[in-house]
Amino acid sequence: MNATMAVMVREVAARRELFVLAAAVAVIAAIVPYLPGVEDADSVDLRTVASLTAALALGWLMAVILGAQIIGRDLADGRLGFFFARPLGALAIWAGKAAAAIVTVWLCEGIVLLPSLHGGGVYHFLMGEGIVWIAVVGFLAVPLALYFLAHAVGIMARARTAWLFLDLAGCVLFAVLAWFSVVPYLTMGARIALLVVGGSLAASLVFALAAGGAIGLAVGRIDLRRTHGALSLALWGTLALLCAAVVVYSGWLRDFGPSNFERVEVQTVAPDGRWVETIGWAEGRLDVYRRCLVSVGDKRWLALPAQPRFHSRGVQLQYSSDGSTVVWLGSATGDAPRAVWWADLGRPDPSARPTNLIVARDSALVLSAEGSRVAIHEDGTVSIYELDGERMIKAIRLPDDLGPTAIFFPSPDALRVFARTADNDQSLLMAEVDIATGEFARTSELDALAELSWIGVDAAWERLVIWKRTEPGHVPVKNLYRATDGTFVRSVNLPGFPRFLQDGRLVILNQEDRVTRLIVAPFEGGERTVHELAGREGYWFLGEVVPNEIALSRLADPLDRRQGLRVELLNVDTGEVRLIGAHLRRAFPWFQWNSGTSGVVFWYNSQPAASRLFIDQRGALVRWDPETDELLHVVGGRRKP
Amino acid sequence: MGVEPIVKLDGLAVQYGKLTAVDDLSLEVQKGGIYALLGRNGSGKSSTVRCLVGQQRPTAGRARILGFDAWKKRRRAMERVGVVPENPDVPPETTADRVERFMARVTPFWRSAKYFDRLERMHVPRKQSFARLSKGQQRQLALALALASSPRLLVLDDPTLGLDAVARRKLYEELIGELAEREMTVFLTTHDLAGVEGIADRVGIIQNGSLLVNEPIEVLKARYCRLTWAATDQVPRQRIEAGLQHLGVVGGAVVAGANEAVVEKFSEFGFDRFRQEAPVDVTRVDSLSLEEIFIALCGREPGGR
Repeated sequence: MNATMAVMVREVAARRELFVLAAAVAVIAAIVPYLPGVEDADSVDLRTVASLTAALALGWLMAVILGAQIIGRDLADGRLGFFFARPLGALAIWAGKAAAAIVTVWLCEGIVLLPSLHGGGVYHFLMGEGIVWIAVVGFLAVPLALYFLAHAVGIMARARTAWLFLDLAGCVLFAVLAWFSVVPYLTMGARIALLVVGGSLAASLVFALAAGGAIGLAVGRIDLRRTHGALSLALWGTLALLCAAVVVYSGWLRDFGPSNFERVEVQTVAPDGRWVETIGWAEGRLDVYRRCLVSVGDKRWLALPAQPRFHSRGVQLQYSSDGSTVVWLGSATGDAPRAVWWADLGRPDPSARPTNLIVARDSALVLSAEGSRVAIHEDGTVSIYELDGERMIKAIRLPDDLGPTAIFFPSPDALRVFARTADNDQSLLMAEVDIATGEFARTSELDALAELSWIGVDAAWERLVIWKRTEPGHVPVKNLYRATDGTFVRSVNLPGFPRFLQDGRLVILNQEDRVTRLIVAPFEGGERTVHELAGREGYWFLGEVVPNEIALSRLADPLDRRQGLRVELLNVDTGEVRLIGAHLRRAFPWFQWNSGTSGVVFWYNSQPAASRLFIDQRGALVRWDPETDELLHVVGGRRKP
Repeated sequence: MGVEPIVKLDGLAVQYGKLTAVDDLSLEVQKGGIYALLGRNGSGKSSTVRCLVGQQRPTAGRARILGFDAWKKRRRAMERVGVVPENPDVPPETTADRVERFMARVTPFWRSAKYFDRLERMHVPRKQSFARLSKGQQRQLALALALASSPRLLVLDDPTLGLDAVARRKLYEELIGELAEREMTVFLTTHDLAGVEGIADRVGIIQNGSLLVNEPIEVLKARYCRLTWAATDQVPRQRIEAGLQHLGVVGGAVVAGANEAVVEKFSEFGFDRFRQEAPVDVTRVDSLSLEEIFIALCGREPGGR
C-alpha cells in the first residue's frame, strides 16, 4: 500500500501542471456570465452550466489522454525500468499510476466545478430528480471507464502484435453479446433490469480492462509486446468469465413462468373466459415480467412476446368472438415492422405461430367471429387474410375522408366500419364492406361527435350509445342507436355513465346525496328499475358477471385502502345483494376499453368473463366461479400472505 | 552446503520468436569484486541483464540474485540491488530532489546523505529536470540512485555508453571507491574494454547468446598470447600448424606466409611441445590486452544480433 501510495504521489506531482490548466478552465467558467451577449441570462445558472460542462469535458478528455499515455508510453519509451529496478511490486506500480491518473482527473473536475458553488448553483442542480446519480456516473464512473479503456487501447496500439486480432474479435463479440443481452429488456421496457444487466456488462468491461492492464504489466513488466499479450489474454478471459456470469444471471431473470408469478396483472381475457392474457412478475427478477396466455382451467400457458406496457395499439391480443383463436403482433425494437402471430386456442397444446405477414408497428388486427380470417388495418388499407395459410382474400383502400376507424366482422364475408369523419363535425360514420367485391357502402352518419365523447357498444355490436359533452361542465347528452344500421332510437336522460347489460338493457350506477342508486332502463324505452343501496356509499361498477347480476365493489376498510375491496353481486331485477369476496383488487383497469382498430375508442360494456377476475391479498389472480360460488386460484401470488 | 553466489544464472535462455538471444547461459558471481560481461552488440548482454534484475522472464532456465529467484521474488531481491540501466530511465520531468523523495519512500536501505553528497561531488544540479541534464550528469544521477540504495549487488548495463574519456574515468574511479568502502559486488556489461580491464576481477564473453569465456581476468590474460617467429622456409606450414595445436591456436589455421599466431592455451609445457614440433625461431611472446582477446574471440565471426 505504501509503495502504491508512493508511486501515486510521485505521478500526481509529475502532472501538477494539469491542476493549473484546470484552474484556468475554472476561471473561464467563472467569467462566462460577464461575457458579451449573455447579459440577460441568470449569472448563477450560466456559471453553473459553464463549469459543469467544462468539468465534464475536461475530465473525459483528460481520462482518455492520461489513459493512453500512462504505462503505454512509458513502456514504448523504455521508461518503466526505473520503477521495476526498485523494490516495487508490478501491481503497486500499476495501481499507483492508475490511481494517480484517476485522482488527477477527479481533482481537476473538482477545481473546474468550484465556480458553480457560487450562489448555490450546483446545489440546486443536484436537487433535480436522479441528477445525483447522473453526476456520479458522469464525473466519476465515466472518466474511470474511459481511463481504463484508453489505457488498454494505448498499449494495444503501441505494441501492434498479433494479439490485435484477438482484441478486434473480442470487441466485436462483446458488442454483439451486449446488444443481445439488453435487447430483451429494451423490448419489454424493463428499465431496472436494463440498467442492472447493461450496467453489469459495462462494469464487467471496466473491471476486465483494469484486470487486463494490471496482469499485463505484472507478466510483461518492461516488455511492451509481452505486456500486450498478457493484457489481451487477461482482458478477454476475464471479460468472458464475467459476461458468462451476466448472461447466466440475465437468463435466470427471464426464465420464469406463471407458476413463479409473485404479482400478476390481467391484460385481456378471451370472450369465453377460458384463456387469460397475464403479465406477471416473479420474486427477485427486478422489473422483468413475463407475458403469457394462461388457461384458466388447467393452468397450461403460452409465452407471448414482451411488449412495453401501456403501448397503444397492436399490443393487445385480439380474440375471435368464440375464443378459439387469438392474434397479436410480434415484438421488435422501436418502430421496426413486426410479424403477425397467432395461436389456435382450441387445440390441446396451443402454440404461438408466426406468420409471414409483416406489418407496421401501429397496425391493428381484427379477427372474424370464428377466427378463420384476420383483417389488418394498416395505413388506410384493410387487408383480409385467411389466417391458416396466409392467403390474402382482399385488400380494401378505405376512403381518405375517414378519421380514426374501428372495424369488426359481422360475418366472415363482411366488415362493419365505424369511423370518425375527418371533417370538422367528426360524425360517426357507419359502413359495410363486402369482402368479396371490396365494395365500401356507407350506411349512415350519426351524431357530430364532440371532442369529449365516448361511444359504448354492447357485446353483440347491435346497440350503441354516444355519450358526449359539448363543453366541459355541460350536461352530457346520451343518444341511443342501433349499431347495425345507425338508426336513432332515443335520447336518454340518465344521471351517470351508461353501460349495456347482456340483454341490451342499460345500467347506470349513480351516487348522489350519500345514496347509491342502480338504475336499469330498457334500450327501447319504458319503465326503469331503480335499486337504492342505502348506506352503501363508494360503490364501483365492475361488470355483469352472469346474466342480470353485476359485480360491485367498495373499500373493505374505508380508512385503509390497502385492505382492498369487498366485492358484492347485485341482481338487477330483484335488487338482492350478496358478498362474494373481500380484500380483493380489480384485475382490470377502472373501465374495460376496447381500443377498436384505429383510434375510435369504444367503451366495451360487457365482458362477463373478465369481470369475474380479481387479485387477492396474496397478489394472486383468482376468478369467481358461478357454479361453485367460490373464488378459485388462477395464477401467481406470494407464498406467504 | 556452499555459500550462495550473489548472481547465479542457470541454463538461462531467452527467445524472441524464432530468434535465440541467450542460449543456455550458466554462470556464477561470488561475493565481492567486479564481474564484467562483454559481448558485441546483440550478443545477448542486455537480455541477460534484464533477466538478472527480474524485468524479463527467461524462456528457460532461471536467474537468482542474492539468493532470490529474480523473476518470482524480484521485489524482495531489489531491496539490495542497485541498477544503472543502459539508457538512464529516470522520469524526464523529475528533478534529483524529487526523485530522492520517491526513493526514500520505496527503498528500505536508502541513504539520502550519501546521495546528495555524490550529486554535489559530481556537480549534478538538484533542481534541474532530468531531461535537461547532460548525458554524463544523467549517468551520475543514475549511479547515485543505485549506490544510495546501499546495494549488495550493483548491476551496470553499459554504464559508460556515450560518455567521454574523462567522464568514463571518473565513473570507474567512483566505482572503485565504492568497492573499497563496502562489500559490494558489481555485475557490469560494457563495450569499454580498456576501462573495464583495469577494474574487473572476472570476465565473461558472450557471443550469439552463448558464453565463450568465464574466468578471472588474470587467468584469461595469462592464457592468451601472441607468438611471433622469424619467417622461414625451412619449417613447413603444416608442422607449424601442428605445433600450434598444443597451444590452442585461435582461428584454427595459420594463414600462408604469416609468422605470428594468437593462442589461447599458452603454457610452458605447451610451448615446449610447439618448439619440438616446429623448430622455428620464436622471437616474441606477447601477452594480449582484453580488447585484443575480445577481438580474437569475437571479431572473426559476424556480430550477434
